[in-house]
Amino acid sequence: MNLRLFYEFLAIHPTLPLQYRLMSSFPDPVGRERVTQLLADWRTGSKEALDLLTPLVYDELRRLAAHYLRNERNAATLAPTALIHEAYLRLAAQELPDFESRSHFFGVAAQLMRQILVDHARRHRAAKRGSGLAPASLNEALSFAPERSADIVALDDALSELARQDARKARVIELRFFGGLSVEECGQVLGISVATVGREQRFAEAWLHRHMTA
Amino acid sequence: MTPERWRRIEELFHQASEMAAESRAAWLDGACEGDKDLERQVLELLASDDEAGGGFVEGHVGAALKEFDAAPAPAPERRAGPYRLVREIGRGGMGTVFLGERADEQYHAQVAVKLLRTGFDTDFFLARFRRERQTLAQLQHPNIARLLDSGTSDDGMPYIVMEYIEGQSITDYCARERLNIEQRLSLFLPVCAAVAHAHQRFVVHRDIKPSNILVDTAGTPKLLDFGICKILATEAAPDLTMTTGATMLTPDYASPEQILGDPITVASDTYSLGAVLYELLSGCRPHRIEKMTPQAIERAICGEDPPRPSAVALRREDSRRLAGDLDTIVLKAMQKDAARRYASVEEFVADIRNFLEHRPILARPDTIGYRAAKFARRNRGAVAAAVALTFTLSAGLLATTREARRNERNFAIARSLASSFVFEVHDSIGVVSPTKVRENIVRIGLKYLDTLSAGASGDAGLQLELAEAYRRIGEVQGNVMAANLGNTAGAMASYRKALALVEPLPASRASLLSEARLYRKIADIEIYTKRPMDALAVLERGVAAGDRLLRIDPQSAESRSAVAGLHLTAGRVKRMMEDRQGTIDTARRAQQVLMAGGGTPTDPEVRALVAESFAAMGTGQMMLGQPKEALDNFRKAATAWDGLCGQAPANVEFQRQRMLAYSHVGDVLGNPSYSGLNDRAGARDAYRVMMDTALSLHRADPHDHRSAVDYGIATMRVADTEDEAGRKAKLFSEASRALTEVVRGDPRNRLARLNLASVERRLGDVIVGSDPAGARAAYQRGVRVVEAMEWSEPAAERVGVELYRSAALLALRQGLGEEARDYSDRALRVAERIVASPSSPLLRFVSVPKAYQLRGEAMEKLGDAASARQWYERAVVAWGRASAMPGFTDRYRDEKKMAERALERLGGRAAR
Repeated sequence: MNLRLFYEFLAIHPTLPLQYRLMSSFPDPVGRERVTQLLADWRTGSKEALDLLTPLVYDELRRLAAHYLRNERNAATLAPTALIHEAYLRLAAQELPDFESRSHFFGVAAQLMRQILVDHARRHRAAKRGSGLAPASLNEALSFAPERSADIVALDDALSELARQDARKARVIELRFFGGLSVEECGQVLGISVATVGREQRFAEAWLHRHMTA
Repeated sequence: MTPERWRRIEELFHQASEMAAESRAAWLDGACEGDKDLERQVLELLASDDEAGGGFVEGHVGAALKEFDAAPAPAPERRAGPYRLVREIGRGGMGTVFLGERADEQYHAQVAVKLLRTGFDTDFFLARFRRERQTLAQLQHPNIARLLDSGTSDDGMPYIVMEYIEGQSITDYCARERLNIEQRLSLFLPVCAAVAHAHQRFVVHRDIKPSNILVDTAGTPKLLDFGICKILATEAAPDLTMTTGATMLTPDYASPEQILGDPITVASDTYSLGAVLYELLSGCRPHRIEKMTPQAIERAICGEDPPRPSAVALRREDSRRLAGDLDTIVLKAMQKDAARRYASVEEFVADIRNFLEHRPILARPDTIGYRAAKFARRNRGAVAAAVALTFTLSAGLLATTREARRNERNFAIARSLASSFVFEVHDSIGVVSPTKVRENIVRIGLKYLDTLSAGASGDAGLQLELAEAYRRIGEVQGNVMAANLGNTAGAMASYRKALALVEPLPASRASLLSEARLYRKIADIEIYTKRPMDALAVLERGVAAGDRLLRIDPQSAESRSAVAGLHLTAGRVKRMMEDRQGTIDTARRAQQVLMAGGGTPTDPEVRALVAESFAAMGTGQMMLGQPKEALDNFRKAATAWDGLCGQAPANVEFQRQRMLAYSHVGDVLGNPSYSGLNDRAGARDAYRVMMDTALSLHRADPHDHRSAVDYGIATMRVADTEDEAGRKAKLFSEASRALTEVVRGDPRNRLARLNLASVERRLGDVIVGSDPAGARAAYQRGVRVVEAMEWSEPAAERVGVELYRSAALLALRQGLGEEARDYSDRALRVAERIVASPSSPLLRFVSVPKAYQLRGEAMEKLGDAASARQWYERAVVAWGRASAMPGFTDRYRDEKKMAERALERLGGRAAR
């Protein structure tokens, strides 16, 4: 069947798992084509494309994040996976996307995910500094300790540093954790074996840990 | 940090991390050779590795996501013109619907305000939004939500204001008010009138579903949301007509033409109205869509007839009232073929009125005769085979019903299989391709088999029948030796289920025969998808069952074929493992089984296996370096297949075997990779027979992965024997295209992957002079493909080293020293694996000197003569070892000489 229609069904079908129904903002193929085009433009350096893209994807990521964090035990693992995959299903204009556009998409989406999370943390940190607001509740204070936002920014910096030394390792981290790709998918996108992904990831994680704690 | 140092740290890190924690420090101390800084860095990384424990980055990202979620959403108070937006009440494809109030308090009426969503204010959406507004303005009907106002908000977004309907969906309303059948029909009729009103104005709603039909507090049903409606007979811009269909459908109420993306007419609305009426009357949705996958939805909507509403009605008294006319009316509106539905909504309404007023209705139910006729008409061509299988399956299971009669439940299921299975299949034939039909057969067949086998325990006859049925299903799913759907995992599961059914049975001819066949099938798939050597254990168990079978039944063609088949399959594995003697032994054992009792076999299956054993024997002889004897056996095989194909020209499998026989003849005569007889022209002739046969088989069934692989391989072989570079490159590209397609569809197909990698290398080698960039890309593709195979078999190692070598040599030529070094590193790693394994035959071992030689060449070009000399020395030593092995031919001798000359050039001396 027409795959486009299918994802639109997903958005509203009442017997569906909630995560699918949450997605409802880009059901139109033209909307999706536009997003896909923007992703491509952004990748080739268009700052304007990112400005246009972010609000579109933001909304979606946010609602999905909320859903996963509330419903899944292992939110940290599931969230990015689900986000990117669902975003892909919903954003990609191709009906039966070929391998290249698929990996292209995941690569770009992981980057975008990273950027959105880091920008958000940066803004949040700046806002907190500016207003000096205390956390709204004890609960919030516990679960969102203020250094958290610094952490993702530090991770981002460390990752950029790693990329300068060894770009592939940084890509592995980005795809695996910001893109939520499985080891196999990550291997496919980068054209390396599963074993290599595992090795790259292990070393990169150790390196990032050391770099950030040193 | 230099890349070399970085690489060194990484290397030490990985080596140390595989050791026990307590022995790392001492080992590192030695490995770092006094470089304290290096040692410290690795130790720190190891400590971090322990501490991070794999969850370090994940934790950070998770925390960031949490924070992202916790931040307050920007929610400014919004307005649209004079309307205050109170809250969001719905979200559509491009718009959001708010409950609104007049902000200037002219009146207090509540309205629904639909606003175009941020990000959607492109010309396309603006045009579409305008169109919805115009459409609504045209439609003035008491049962259609009214358009009240429209405008543009302060931030430039267009909006439309509609009547706000406070109510509930028509299905909820009927349930809550406990309406009887007549009352429900009376409520439904005005909805039809609203749709007919739209149709008269050339508007098709396209999204009729209960949630778009609200019943207000006065009990009046109102049709909403013309957001994706289509205007017939007006000249919309082309981009509009092209894409407007693809928005927000609900599969339960969507017509088959909507699902399939076919043209949409007023009949699509009739279908959806029928589906809504179905649910109103029976309380159930017409289709059971089990999974929200495109296939499942398509199957449900386009492939399966909904049960009669009376059959599913929740209340028994309803069921009686529905049976007959109302069933007929609803199913007529929901016909899959739009031409068989009511010609208009008015006709549909008229029939409902006929029923309410006790007049005869116009619609006629489908008769079994009609359906059978339709079935027979459609039972043609490529579809015939699939249908034949269906019948075999259901006939087999019908036979089991005799056994199952004692068991009421099994009997009922088997009976329902006999009827609904065939009909479900029959319907899918009409709308989809043969592959789809086969998928349908598999799905439905498995469902029934699983249910039946759950209750089959203790009934030997039924268990055998079921095992046989599972085996056939497995065949359709992914028998790698025949045309299949490429679902090897599913096929394996089916074979395993079959085996679980027959294994516990007491030994009988039937059970042992079934076991022997199943073990062979399972081994076939393991060879195909896993490490071939793993299949040997399975085959041994099969042969054990086969030996017992031959004691009970030494003569019949069936049992001899089954056992010989196991030996030949084992022979294939031996061949892949490059076990020469094993290859010949298994072929001989197969021939013994087949020829037992003397005389010339007449049974075609036995004859075919005899031919196969000739070929297997020839293969073993090739490996032993006896090309003349091998050619003799291969010619015997080819002649045998020529005869069998003459006897049964339509047998696809025989055609394929004939093709393989010719490929062997070609290989012996002139495939440069073998110890050939150097008759290139003779080889090319044989390969052309192979390629032509493969192509015609592939064309006959383009979905069949196997013939596609055959075609790819055959094309590659013809290219090999071709002399002219341009033609060669073209043929290799064609082979690459064919194989890439297979690998995409069936990534576990190792044969396709292996040959694809090899083709890319050959293509690169042909074009490397004229198009270095193209060659480099080809090598990179090949390396990717072969590395993903993780060196699971010797052939992959050989192909891999060849690729690394070609790629490295090109890199050296282009001055990319690092890249060349990297490739030669990888080749050396493969060589290390080979050296580390206890005994490697020549075909495997030659990769070792090749890898050494390559490293020597790389080092020489990079200016490190001393290192180059060492590597050339190693290559020469390794070639010396290789030359003592059977099968060492002139081609290798040349390579050996090359290494010796290189060594002498650098002032070393070849050891004699």
